[in-house]
Amino acid sequence: MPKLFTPEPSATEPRAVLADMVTTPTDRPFSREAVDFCGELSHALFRAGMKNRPEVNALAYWFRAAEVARLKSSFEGLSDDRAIIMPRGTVFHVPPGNVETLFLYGWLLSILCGNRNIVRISSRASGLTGELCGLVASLLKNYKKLARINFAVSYGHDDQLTADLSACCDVRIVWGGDETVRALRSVQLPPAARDLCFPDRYSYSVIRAGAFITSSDAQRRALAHAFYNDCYWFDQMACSSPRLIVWCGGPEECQSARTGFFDLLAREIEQQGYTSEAGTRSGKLLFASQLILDESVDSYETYGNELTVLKLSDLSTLDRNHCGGGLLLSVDVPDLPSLAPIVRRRDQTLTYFGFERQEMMLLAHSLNGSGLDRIVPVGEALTFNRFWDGYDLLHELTRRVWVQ
Amino acid sequence: MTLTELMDAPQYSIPQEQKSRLLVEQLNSLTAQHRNRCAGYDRLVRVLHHSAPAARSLADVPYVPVGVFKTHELRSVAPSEVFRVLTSSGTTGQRVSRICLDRTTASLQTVALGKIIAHVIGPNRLPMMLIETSSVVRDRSSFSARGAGILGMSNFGRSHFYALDEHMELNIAGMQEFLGRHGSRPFLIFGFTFMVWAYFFDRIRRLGLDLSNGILIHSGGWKKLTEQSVTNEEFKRAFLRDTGLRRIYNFYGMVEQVGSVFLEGEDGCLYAPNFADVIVRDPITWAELPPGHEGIIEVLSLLPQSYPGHAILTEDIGVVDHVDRDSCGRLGKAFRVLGRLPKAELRGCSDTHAASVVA
Repeated sequence: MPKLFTPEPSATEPRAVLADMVTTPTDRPFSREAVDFCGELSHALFRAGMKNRPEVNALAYWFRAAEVARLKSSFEGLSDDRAIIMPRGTVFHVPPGNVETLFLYGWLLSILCGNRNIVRISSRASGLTGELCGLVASLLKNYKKLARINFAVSYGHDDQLTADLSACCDVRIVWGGDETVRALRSVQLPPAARDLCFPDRYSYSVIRAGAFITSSDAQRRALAHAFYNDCYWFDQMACSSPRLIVWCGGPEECQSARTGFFDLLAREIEQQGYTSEAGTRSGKLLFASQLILDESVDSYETYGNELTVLKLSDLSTLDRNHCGGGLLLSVDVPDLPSLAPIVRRRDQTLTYFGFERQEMMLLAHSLNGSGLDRIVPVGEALTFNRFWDGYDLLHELTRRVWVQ
Repeated sequence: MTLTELMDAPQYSIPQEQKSRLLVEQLNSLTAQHRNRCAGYDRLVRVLHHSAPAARSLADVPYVPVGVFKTHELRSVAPSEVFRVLTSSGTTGQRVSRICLDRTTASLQTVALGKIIAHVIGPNRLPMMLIETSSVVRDRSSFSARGAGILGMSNFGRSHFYALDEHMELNIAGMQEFLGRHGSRPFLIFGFTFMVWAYFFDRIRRLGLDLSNGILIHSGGWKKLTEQSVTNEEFKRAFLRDTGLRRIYNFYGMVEQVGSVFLEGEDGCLYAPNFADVIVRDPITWAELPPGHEGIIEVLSLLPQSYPGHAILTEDIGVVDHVDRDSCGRLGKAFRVLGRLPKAELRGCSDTHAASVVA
């Protein structure tokens, strides 16, 4: 039985709620109510104090009042006096089962853009997802307008409901990998509606070996900490979590930077108390074995209990599947331009250390869009941004009305 | 002792220390042989096991994670020498293991299994009831694990009676005829654990049959029965209570090491035959765990000559209870299998719940 979180506890039939919702007018982009709601939610998330859930704090931080104000001004910059920006209408969100915070970014941005929203919560979603939805629902009660145009519905396998929800939306946002995207693609949208899909992606880091070597101990520790967050928050399975480190420099430099860095990372992992389950470890060992059979793997090393490193000598045939749970590939290249041939369309986030932004700009220009949608410093891999997977979400969630 | 001598010697008769020594020596030659003939395995030993010098203990023998056989065909003989390819059972869409046997390995498997089974049924073939449909062995060109298991076991019986029809219905008349003819002397019953329980025991428990001369050998895992809260003890108790059957032997084995199965002793523990062994590893460090500690099971066997499967790290959890205690006339390690390693529940953007949102 589908379970509704909002807006009306008495309404238990999603289709009835939906019918009412789609006749309710959309909100104004960055309306007072929407902006206030984000601010209050941010406060509530901070207050919820989920200490061992750093990603919740990151979410709260991202939607704090000051940040929303900045977002609002960049939004205003998008329109001019002829092309004005309006909500798209109804957005159907299909988030992944287990990156609990991710769907809230998309949802909140869509709220800010003025859209009506339906969020499908998997019946197998984690406890945290439930908690977050509960929090949103309790706050929405005080936002009458928003409460009428936002609801989350939790259901398991229900093809008909998925089809009904799809049939009345203007945008469908599908997070959650190739299989989910393929599955949803087969469910018709209205002709004028569109899909915004976030399929499986691959992400990695590039570190200038020389820069690591000349860094102070404090800088190195900070790097290990930042990398830990990028890599381990979501068991290395967020689409933007690095799975590979590309070392730039001469062979000896790379060698020395590698060992130094992985030792520090192992220490950081231990300090953070990260542990994986036996099934994950067994999966890592199997994945490593398969990689050794398929790729040119020079070495297999473990650092502490939760970090496995496979050094590759060539990435040209690398298939981009990954086991997660703390297995890193490592490869040496002489310089940054040597990175370009490795890049594929599927590659999403490149995190970097020891380079100037200008060098990354050159790299991006040389790639000319053939791969990599985000190039950010190490530590920013999971930091959400309106620019994601090559989309500007503010742009995608709104329409331009031309008035001449 | 050579492999033949180990097979000919009384099973379960070698004290652990001596057995380990004998096995290590021969496992080392298997490692060398497979490294020479299977490039993939050689790479695994070189990289995953840092070139592993000759093993001095069972735990040092370089092992292969069982899942590798699902994605890679690891073979130490030329394709022309492949006599039979065994595949594991798996539901649609699941990848299955492919194990290449040459004639030598296939015949070693048959002989080895014979030695193990003879230990509980004696040297002669017995009338045999199979809790199976005969169709599972009809297509001989491709063997599923189920078909191979049935066919392998049927060697130890005669006057075979397949107790199930195509629809998994029990042929009660046929069974009563079988019992009328053979039930007053020892006879053999074989089947897969779940099928024996669901398609056989459940349907005969109220018929008042006398199976007291039967010897039931069964295998295939406890997952489905554990879900119904049926333990090995309960399984045996129920059979004894309702049918008088008391000689029941479960065994643990897998398609990746056919022939060297771990048969249950009268004390309810599993035992390794002379030419195979088991170790339990810590899933954190992968080091060998002492008796009494639960971990991941690794199985070792001298039989695999045509593929590098002499040391396989399984995805099963188990524990060695005691060593050389001789609690039922068997020396060596007494162990239990506690279940399958739960699948990793990782977080991450990519979720595999696609089926639940598909229309």
